Amino acid sequence: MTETELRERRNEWSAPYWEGVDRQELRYQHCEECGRSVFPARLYCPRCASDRLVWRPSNGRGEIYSFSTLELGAVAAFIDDVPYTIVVVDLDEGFRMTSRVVTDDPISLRCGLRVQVDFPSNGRPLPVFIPLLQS
Amino acid sequence: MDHSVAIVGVGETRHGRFADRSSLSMALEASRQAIEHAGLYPREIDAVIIAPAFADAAFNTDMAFGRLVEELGMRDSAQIIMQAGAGGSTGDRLLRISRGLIASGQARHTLCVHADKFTELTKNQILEFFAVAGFDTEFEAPYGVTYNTIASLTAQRWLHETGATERALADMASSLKEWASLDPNAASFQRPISTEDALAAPILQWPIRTSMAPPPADGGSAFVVTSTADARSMRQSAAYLIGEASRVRTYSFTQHDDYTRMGWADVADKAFAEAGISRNDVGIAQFYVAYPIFHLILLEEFGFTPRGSAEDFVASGATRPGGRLPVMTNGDAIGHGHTGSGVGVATLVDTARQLMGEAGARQVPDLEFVVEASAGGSYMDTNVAMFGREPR
Repeated sequence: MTETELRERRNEWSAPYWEGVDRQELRYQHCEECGRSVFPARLYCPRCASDRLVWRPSNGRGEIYSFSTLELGAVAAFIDDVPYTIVVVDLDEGFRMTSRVVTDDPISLRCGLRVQVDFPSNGRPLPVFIPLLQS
Repeated sequence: MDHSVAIVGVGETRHGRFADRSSLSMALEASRQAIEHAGLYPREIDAVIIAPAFADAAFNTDMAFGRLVEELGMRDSAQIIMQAGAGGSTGDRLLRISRGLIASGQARHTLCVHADKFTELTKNQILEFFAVAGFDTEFEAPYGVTYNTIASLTAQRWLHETGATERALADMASSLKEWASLDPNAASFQRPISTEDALAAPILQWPIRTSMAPPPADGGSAFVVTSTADARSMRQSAAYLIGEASRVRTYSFTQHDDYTRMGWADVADKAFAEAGISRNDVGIAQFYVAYPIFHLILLEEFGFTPRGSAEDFVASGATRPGGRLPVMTNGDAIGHGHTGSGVGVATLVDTARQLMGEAGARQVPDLEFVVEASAGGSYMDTNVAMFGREPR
């Protein structure tokens, strides 16, 4: 999928998210009415209907809720990526996000594994996750 | 249950790949069968409610624009014709709309119908269709998700939390296809698959294998709905709606709070309470949830077997023909064939057949009650309907 195709899909209200991605910062929305984190970008809070959503930066760290490695049956646009691993990450700020996890050691992936966001320079402006580097 | 209704007639075409059949001919065959089965003439139908056809776009437009009124001989007699849908929940929604129209006196008898030709689409068109069906186009589809991703993410988490093995999925797939192998209208009629073979099939997205994914199919199905009072005078046995509950959860599948539960327990409890029956009264669990991971989850969340025991429950043969709780007697989408919105309609057709004692080789003996469940989109909602041979 080309960068142009990706940009054509963007909503009117998600611009702050993509501005963040351009600066290698993961952002999410916070609902000032109910206090919950909201993801992906919405105009109103899915759980309380408030319009008081504000953008916040995430620390980019979280844990794997689930993951799925695609071996067969990819859409044509992603055939060249096979095999690749879709991941659902629970970020520390309390939002859940779909992405990919990139690792040289796929066997080590498991639910609950700590991961951190990464912004690869592969022409696709899409944040992915990598296993959290121990420091 | 006030203002309740019953399914009093059903029709269904064979499902599979039929290059020489049009969607329209399948819609007409299923409709005529259902009306005749109900003992009605086409011109006694007041409202025709049509499920969306996702694959056959020209046919879909014809359906929205009322072609069936002429084709079925209802010109100047039908009062309402419309299209209404909610993906896999469409069958349940058509029943609900029917109940409302009948209760309010706007219709005496309704016809609910679906037909579609999924095999007209190329493999990639089908993959692309389902890659944005209930995934966020902007935030999720660009990562290369497919519909199989949903089942895979769910199974991965369910196996992690419950300690079950991937054999549970293969066993459930085998159970569903055993039912389909006995259904002359199913795409995989006379083609059962053993648990071992299901477990040996190529991996799509672990632990989901080709044996566990729904094959696209062509097919049509229809049912006629009327009031409880009319149903009693029309026929000896019918599928009486005796309880229902539903709740809409999320649009994006990935935003479900708990993939291993998905909120089914609440709606199941509510539907059981309304019907006034217990788990032990249920003769069939008609769970239209497509991938076998979800039948396992629903068995636990509905309280048919404790959390963590679905694998043993299925391994015991309970869900298969002759078992103590048959699950999805038309084989669900993996056995019956995936026609888009149609599987939910076909599920109600099969539910009614079973309660009328007309399910042939698949007939479950001494059947009193059936619990039916369906989810639309990417499991966006949780719908439960309870049916009995008699009204309540």
